[in-house]
Amino acid sequence: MSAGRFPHSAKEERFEFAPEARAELERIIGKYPVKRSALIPALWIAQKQNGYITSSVMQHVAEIFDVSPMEVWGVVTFYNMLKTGPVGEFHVQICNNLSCALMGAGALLRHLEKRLGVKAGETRGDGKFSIEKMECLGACGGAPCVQINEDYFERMTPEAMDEIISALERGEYVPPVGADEVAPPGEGAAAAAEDKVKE
Amino acid sequence: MNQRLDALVLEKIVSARFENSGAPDIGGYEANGGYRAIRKIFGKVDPKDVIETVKSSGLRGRGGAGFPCGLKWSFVPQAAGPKYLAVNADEGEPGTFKDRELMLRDPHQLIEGILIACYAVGIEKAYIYIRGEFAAPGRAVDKALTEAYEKGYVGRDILGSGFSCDIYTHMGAGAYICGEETGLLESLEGKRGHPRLKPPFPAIKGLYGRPTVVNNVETLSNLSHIIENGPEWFAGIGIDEKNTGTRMYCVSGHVERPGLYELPLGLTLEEIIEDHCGGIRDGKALKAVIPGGASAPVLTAKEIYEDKVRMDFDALARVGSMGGSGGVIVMDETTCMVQAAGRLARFFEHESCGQCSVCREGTGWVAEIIGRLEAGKGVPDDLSTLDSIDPNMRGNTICVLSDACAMMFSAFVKKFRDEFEEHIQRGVCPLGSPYTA
Ligand SMILES: Cc1cc2nc3c(=O)[nH]c(=O)nc-3n(C[C@H](O)[C@H](O)[C@H](O)COP(=O)(O)O)c2cc1C
Ligand code: SF4
Ligand code: FES
Repeated sequence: MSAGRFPHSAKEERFEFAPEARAELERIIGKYPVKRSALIPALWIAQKQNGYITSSVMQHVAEIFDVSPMEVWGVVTFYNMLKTGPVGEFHVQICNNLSCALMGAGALLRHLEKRLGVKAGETRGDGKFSIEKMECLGACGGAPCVQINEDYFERMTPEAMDEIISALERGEYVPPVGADEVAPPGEGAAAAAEDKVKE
Repeated sequence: MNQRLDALVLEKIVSARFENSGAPDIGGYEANGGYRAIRKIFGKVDPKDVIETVKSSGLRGRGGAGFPCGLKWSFVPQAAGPKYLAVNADEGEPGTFKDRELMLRDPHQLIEGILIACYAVGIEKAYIYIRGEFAAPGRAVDKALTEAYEKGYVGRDILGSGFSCDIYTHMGAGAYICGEETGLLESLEGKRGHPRLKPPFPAIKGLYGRPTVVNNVETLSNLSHIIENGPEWFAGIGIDEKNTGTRMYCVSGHVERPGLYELPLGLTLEEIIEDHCGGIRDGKALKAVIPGGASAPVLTAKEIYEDKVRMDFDALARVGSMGGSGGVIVMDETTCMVQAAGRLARFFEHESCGQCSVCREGTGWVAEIIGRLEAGKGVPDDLSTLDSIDPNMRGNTICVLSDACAMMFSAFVKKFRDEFEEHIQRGVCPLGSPYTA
């Protein structure tokens, strides 16, 4: 949980929630007796709209919650999933905790880095793929486990991973693999690819 | 010896509906006995009697500490004003993956459990804190909540009983420490997930400074069954009156069939591995098992096959480990114990919230020293340094993450000291660093 510095960027465009996003936030604020509880949900919504969290996002959110931007920054840097820089259209999160390591996560990571042409912690030049090493994803029975955007892919092998990546590159729908299969449809790796198809 | 040893009932409770693909939908849940327990008690049974029922079932928390559930509820003062339930669905303890499937495969069972807990304690608002990565389980619970609201099982004046209760989901954003109950409450209040000094405990002063119950998903998922079938039935499953019911053992690593196994409390670890998981993969020999998530001290093959350690809360505590979160990580003879310890040390270093210098610095040192040993650059003093760090990391901090890290590495160093020494002497991993991730 490294902090780093507050990203001052004067040139940056001003961020404001889109009307639907703002309405969604108001609905969420209504769930709690204390407004501040909706701060992290607000950051999630902002990240969805903006891709990642910038200083103007934090300033806007700080105004809504009547706290200082530094206070918001303190929260943002505490949470691994709140991003202060862009990630790929397909953010490939590979678990490298013990159960997955025992089942070949190391070899899988090295394969992915080669296949995608990008190292863990980096985003590919075309913005298509990024890789992040994760702590336990809570799916260790399906090790090694990879999460692409929202969706889980369990019991991954280099071959299975290749097929998924190729399909994503072709803009195809890729359903999750493992227990996520039983969930109501969402906006995971699948949805990003679907959007592409629509374009 | 306990009379029940030969006759542990193999009955599934919380995963009984897992094979039924209709179970996540409200129709499927209702058709399989769902929402019968709340009909049985709402407006009909005194909440105090519900607490007594749960107490006499012997149900202990499945989140990590194994604290008796009914007893925890009874600490909440009767005072007027809002009280809260925070459902711990942060599931981040390495090796643990049961709450995810409980939410995906039977979300209404969790909702009914939440309703029972709230009724018993007099709570009208519950928040399900779901780890940020669990988008799909979050959707499953949200959909189930929408259905339950539509049917009048959640919301105002439930089933005409006069009891009202709202349930909300709340997504985390990626921080293991938010699974610690007071870190969770801070996070739910929109802050960094810094654990709070205790006392006061959440039962007295929790969410928004109000009395709050924190319970794990699996704990709550048991409640409808206890209400329906009675506490004696539940207490009849498991090895003794302190270890009742089942656990969702999350078995990962080098077994033939990794996965979730709901089994009565009190089986031996050998039985779980050999009889249920198909034994060690590829006919290899077992080396070690972490029996209850990364924080639970590692066990050796001798403890498992010769001493036949049992997987209930108290038997594991007696051998210096713990039942923890139910995460069983199995390692065969190809595993390097220095590497395994190093991997977990880096996990604790990464997840320390940094409030306590002992934990912040200690986890960092441990990760650095074990990392050095892994790389074959260790010196003989490293082991004695590790020995001396251990006691300082225990009992001195705001939460027990620091203790967990100390318990983890000291068990590895004590039980597999020869492997650590060999790394120092040879300057290289004798097994060739097999699982570098
Ligand atoms: C560092 C740390 C992490 C924890 N993570 C979790 C978790 O992810 N899920 C959970 O249910 N309990 C977790 N716990 C235990 C909780 O603090 C708490 O004991 C539990 O949620 C209580 O519920 P129960 O009594 O139903 O088990 C954690 C504890 C610590 C110290
Ligand atoms: S022990 Fe570690 S994780 Fe727990 S409060 Fe202190 S610094 Fe944070
Ligand atoms: S260790 Fe990879 S999902 Fe748990």
